[in-house]
Amino acid sequence: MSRINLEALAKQHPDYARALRALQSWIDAHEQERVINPMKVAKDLRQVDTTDLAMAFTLLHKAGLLKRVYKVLTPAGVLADGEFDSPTVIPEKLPDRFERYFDTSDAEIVPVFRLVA
Amino acid sequence: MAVYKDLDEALSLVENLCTTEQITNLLRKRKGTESVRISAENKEDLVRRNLRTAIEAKAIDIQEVFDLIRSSEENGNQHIFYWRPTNSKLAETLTLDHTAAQLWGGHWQKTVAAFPSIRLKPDDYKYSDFRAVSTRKPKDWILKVYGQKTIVRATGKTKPEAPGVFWREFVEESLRIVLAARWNYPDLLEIRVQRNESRRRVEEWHQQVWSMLTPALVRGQFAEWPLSAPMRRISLEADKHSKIYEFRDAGILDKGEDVVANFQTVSDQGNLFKSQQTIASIKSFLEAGGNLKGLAVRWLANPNAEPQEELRVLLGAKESNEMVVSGRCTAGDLDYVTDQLRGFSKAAS
Repeated sequence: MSRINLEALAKQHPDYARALRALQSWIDAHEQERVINPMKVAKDLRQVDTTDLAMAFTLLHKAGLLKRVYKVLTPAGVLADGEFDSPTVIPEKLPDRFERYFDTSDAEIVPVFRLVA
Repeated sequence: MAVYKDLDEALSLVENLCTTEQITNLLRKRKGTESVRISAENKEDLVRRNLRTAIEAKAIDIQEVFDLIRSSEENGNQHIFYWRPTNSKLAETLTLDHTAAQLWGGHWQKTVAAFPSIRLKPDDYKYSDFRAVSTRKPKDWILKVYGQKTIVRATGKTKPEAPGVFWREFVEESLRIVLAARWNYPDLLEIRVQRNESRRRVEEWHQQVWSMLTPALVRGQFAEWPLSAPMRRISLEADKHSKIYEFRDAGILDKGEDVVANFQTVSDQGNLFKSQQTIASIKSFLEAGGNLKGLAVRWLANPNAEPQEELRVLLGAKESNEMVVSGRCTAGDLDYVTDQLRGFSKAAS
């Protein structure tokens, strides 16, 4: 069963119905992902116009289905564990995937969405 | 009674360590009893008013509060170093009674009866608890050590003072330290040390536990239990056990230890099993005599048994006998992982 149903939203916003349905398929195909990185989704859904996709994310956010959170890239360029409600609450140091701590002041912060449902 | 003398400290620990859900569940067990109120505006009220009132009215036994603290601070978010007794006779002598007598002498029962001792000793370590782990494993015990240290930490803030001169801000912080030794009969001693950004501290704490065990046992009687064999089997047999675990990150050294290759999924929720090229690469390194140096395994939740919740661990990244458990978990789930490692350490049938 899907974790989220965007059909009602697609009916309310027919201009973005295609983007919303594509996003629904992406979410269903990535069951393990609690956190959605819009950049990754845009890469996977090249057939969908990026402006429409951005609008689809905005609609989900406004509907309370997604929450904006922030993640940090490790020096190896992968996402570190943990997500933060604001960039200001990110600790000064975080562990990378092999438990080596790095300084987050030099790291890239990635705005992502967490599924609220 | 000692338990009431330390009630403020106990409640502080509950507030800091336990989730609102855990505290509510404890109160719910006595739902309907006079003096037990469940709803609260916030966590502080839940602990400071609801839980305190229930304890003072004896609706909730203080031991249940200690159990809640134990389950929250003893399992997970820690480094576990696995050690094996060098002979089986030693393993048989490591009973709770014998170990306690070695640690505290002839009157050990009196000392143990006063545990848990939850008040911290400033800038020092102390024995905090010693008890059998469960009725299911009667030969297992856990020794817990509390420590407190004032550390100086750079805040990262700087202020220009004069051309070429600046002030850096440092703050003092009190660090609460929880360490443990868990005898996991019949063959494993686990030294558990909380996670910290300083590797030096982690190693000091590891040494501290050994030093506090010394009246009963010494490091020379144990050998590191290397996780290389279970790591190898876990990675090579991944396709056979896809309902039990997945792995996300793997480090691998070639046979000559000249090359290290790290495989990591970009997403923190990723699964290396999904990349056939990665699996083939890891296999080719291992089959050519290479060794894993770090394997992040996600043990999948089992609705009918353990683990109750998904549990992620990092095996052998720094020391060969070391496992890092990234989140809090139950004692049963952590034992499940240790038992799996024991199972995978045996040669494939």
